[in-house]
Amino acid sequence: MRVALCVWLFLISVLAATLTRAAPPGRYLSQADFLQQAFAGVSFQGRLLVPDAGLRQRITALLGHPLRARRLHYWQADGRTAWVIDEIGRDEPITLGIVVGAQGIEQLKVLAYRETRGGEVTRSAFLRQFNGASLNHDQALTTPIDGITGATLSVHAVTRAARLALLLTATVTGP
Amino acid sequence: MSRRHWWHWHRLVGVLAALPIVYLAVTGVLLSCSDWLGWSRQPVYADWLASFYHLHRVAPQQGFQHQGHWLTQSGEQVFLDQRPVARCQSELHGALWQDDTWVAWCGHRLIYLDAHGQLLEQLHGVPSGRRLGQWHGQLWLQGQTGFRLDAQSGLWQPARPPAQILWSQAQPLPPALRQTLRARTPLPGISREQVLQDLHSGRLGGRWGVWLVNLTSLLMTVLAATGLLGWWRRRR
Repeated sequence: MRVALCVWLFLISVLAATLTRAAPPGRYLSQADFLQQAFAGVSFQGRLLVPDAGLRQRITALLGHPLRARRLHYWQADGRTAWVIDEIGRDEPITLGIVVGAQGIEQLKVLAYRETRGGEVTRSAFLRQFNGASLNHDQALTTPIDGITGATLSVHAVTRAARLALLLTATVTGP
Repeated sequence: MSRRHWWHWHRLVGVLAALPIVYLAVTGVLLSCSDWLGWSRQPVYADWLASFYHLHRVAPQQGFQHQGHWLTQSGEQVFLDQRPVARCQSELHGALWQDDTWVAWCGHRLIYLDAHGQLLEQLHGVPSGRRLGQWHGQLWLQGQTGFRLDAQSGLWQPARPPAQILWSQAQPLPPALRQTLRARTPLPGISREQVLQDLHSGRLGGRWGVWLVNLTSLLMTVLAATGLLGWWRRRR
């Protein structure tokens, strides 16, 4: 009897967790607003990065898949570099705005989320975990990132994008 | 009613319900796996399903042309001639050929493609506008005000568009290409998961399909009840 009760309680709690509403798909922040927030009114310069074969290889190793785009725009001011990166969660690309400074990631924002599930990654509490993260020798983040049940693929996508932004910043700013 | 009678009814209902239960079980398992299989976003092309849903395939009629090559949109897919080259969830507002590159305007982003349809870049942050044009190697956008794209910074600057701008304009597709793209256009508004849901609920078979599923549910309930009662009586 007790076992049956436990099973029912477990099933109900799983159902309740599933029904908890995640953030809906949508556009959360425009690129213009992201750059405005990133540089807080300071004048910034836009540049274009065309990754060479060596960098593309390192990107493929880091992402686990090749970078589809052949070039990327980025913006710089006051020793900070901002990137807008698309990375696929499960089916759809998540558009992320990432600011990298001397001490690692300073800001990570979701500009657009298109998946029907896993929208918990748009929450600021989750995104704040990336602040201060940089890459170690294994190209992994120095800060551990807590996963979210039901949003695993989106969490992995955001983490990959964060690592990519750090790698690209190291490339454009030099050693 | 004797124990023997319970088992007799149990067996009879079991035989009657066996096939529908297997059908519901298979579609149910597939439905629970559809997320994992990626069927929630997989389009459906079958013509026989179009007649079931009373849907009409909306084939693209117009596209953007450069020297005999066409960039057009069908569903969420952007095609270069007959090849799918990019995804665009919103409307393809405009496209033009600039410096050996296709520039497609999709929602809030520009998609840059080379002559073979390979992705060069996706540039976010396109302001609201009505039409996309080019003049002297620069991209322009006209909305309530005008914007010029600074190619180096990737940012749009407010500016008044000159009168000589060549605005991108959709043109009717050649009939042969329209026919080819029609076959590659998914049925609007339904996914494989939707079809599976309608198979599972019986809705795809109309009113009779739903009644059949309801009847199967009733038989399953009877099966459970007779099984339980038979077991209870045997226990006593």
